[in-house]
Amino acid sequence: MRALILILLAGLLAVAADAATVQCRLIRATNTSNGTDLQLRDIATQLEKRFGYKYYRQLGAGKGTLPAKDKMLRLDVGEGFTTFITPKGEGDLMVELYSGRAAVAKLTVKLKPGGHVLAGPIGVGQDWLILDLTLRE
Amino acid sequence: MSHPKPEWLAAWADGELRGWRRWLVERHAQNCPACAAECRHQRHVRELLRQHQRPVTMRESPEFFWAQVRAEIERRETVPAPVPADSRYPLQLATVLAAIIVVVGWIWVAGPPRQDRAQGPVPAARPGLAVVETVNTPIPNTAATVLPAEEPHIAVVWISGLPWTRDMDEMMTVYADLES
Repeated sequence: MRALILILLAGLLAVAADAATVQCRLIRATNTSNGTDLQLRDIATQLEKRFGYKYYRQLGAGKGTLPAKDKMLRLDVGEGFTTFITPKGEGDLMVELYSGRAAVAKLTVKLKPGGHVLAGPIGVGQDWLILDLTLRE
Repeated sequence: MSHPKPEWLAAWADGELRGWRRWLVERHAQNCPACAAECRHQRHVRELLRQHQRPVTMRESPEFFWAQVRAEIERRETVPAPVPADSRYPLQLATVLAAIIVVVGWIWVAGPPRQDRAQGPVPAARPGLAVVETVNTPIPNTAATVLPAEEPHIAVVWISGLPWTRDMDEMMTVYADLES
């Protein structure tokens, strides 16, 4: 009996370790803040190159394990933003970005671990809001 | 009697004739009514010009004008002299020939790749880690475009036409009521 429990636990751990994690971050691009968040150092250079602002602050983030095919994952990113992710096949994801009741964008992407999808900008004052969707193993 | 040259008469009228030419012109004019008339005419014209001389006025002060002149001189000195078209081609030809010689020399020295030379793995082209296949924006009057990929692991979806708000509170209010 103990052996059976150990085997089941090992199997569960193996499945959990194999599952990819998807993360969505809400980023504020600004020129008035002081410095870029350390949490964004992995894409800070690309953000600056693409959006032109000096500093990037992470306003919120949602993270979850990528579900099975056709199962939806909901990530609350903060500030009223929600992301729905539905795997559709090997690396294929259907992504819906919502702000409040409004669907800001609906996209299908091929995302592999280490890849980023940046969506935006949403103008707020002098700043921009950007959503960053990424997959990690 | 030969008349003096007209330029001698003009020089005499200007007061620039010296020596034996001056003596010759004056002596001739005493005995030649035509040349004497010409001398008087020349002197008269010069007198008229002197009396009706237009005063030279400058828009700028002399110092400013000279500063401009000096700046223009310096500018012209720094501009490289134009190279005649014919002499440019030999320079280019020499550059191309030098490049060919260097490349041929390099191949000659390096020789063909040896089979026993350690060969590292050829880096494979990095496949796209993020590729956006379709995108749409249900909010009216907005448009979404996938920007050309500059890096294989970053895809950018540019959404234009979204409502602009003054601050986060207004943004949350506006987007909460926004239909899509």
